[in-house]
Amino acid sequence: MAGVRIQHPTERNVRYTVVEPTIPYAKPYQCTPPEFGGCGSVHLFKTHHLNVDETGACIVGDELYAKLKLRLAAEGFVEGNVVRKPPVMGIGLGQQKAGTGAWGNIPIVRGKGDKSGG
Amino acid sequence: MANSFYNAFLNGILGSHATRVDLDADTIKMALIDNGGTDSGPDAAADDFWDDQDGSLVGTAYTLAAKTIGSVAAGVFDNTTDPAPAFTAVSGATCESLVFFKDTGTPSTSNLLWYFDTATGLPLTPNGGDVNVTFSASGIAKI
Repeated sequence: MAGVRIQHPTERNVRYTVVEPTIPYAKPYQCTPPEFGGCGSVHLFKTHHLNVDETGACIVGDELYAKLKLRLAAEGFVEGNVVRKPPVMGIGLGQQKAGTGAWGNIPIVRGKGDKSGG
Repeated sequence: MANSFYNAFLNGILGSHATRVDLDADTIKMALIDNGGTDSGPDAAADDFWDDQDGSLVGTAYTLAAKTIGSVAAGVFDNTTDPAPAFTAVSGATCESLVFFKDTGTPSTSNLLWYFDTATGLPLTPNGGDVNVTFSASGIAKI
């Protein structure tokens, strides 16, 4: 598998939500707080959280990109290059305290289909 | 939402469940779960076996290879190594949960154990790369 680099024209250093309104969660999903990796809102529909870096770029897995291509374009993202070896991601199961962590103050930008507020 | 044991697993410890789980002898796996998938997200009260959850699997489940019981503290299940990577070249749907289960080879007899939906890195939007998992120094699960 590879990743696809996408580029947003204006957003920088934000977590951008992209919603798939055709895929409802069986139960409302309480998203994790920003410092964990989410946005802290309750989502009714499948929501993807994209960490947009300081250049406006983000890497999305190719399978997911193929599925979200039209929605990403509607949000203003432009397709860039293929990333053959995307950076390693991580999940940490250590004890966490809300309100702490490197990502705690990341701005959340809600995409056009995201009605979850927050 | 909160990290939780599955009720069926807890009841199994007390003896009401048909099949027992031997955490250090059985094959224990963890899996990335798409809460918007066919089997939706974890339901601690309603789900009991892997066939209630496998329709939401993203990628391939990882087998814990360095399990311990009681070495961290009494009643604590742990894995002495942090898998890096635990999941290779993940490119499916965004994952909201990490589910642990006993794998018998048959989903309908593979007990669901517990799940994490609140952890650093969740929800995880795959970038096509590997995913490492770092366990707590206090162990993975405590009874």
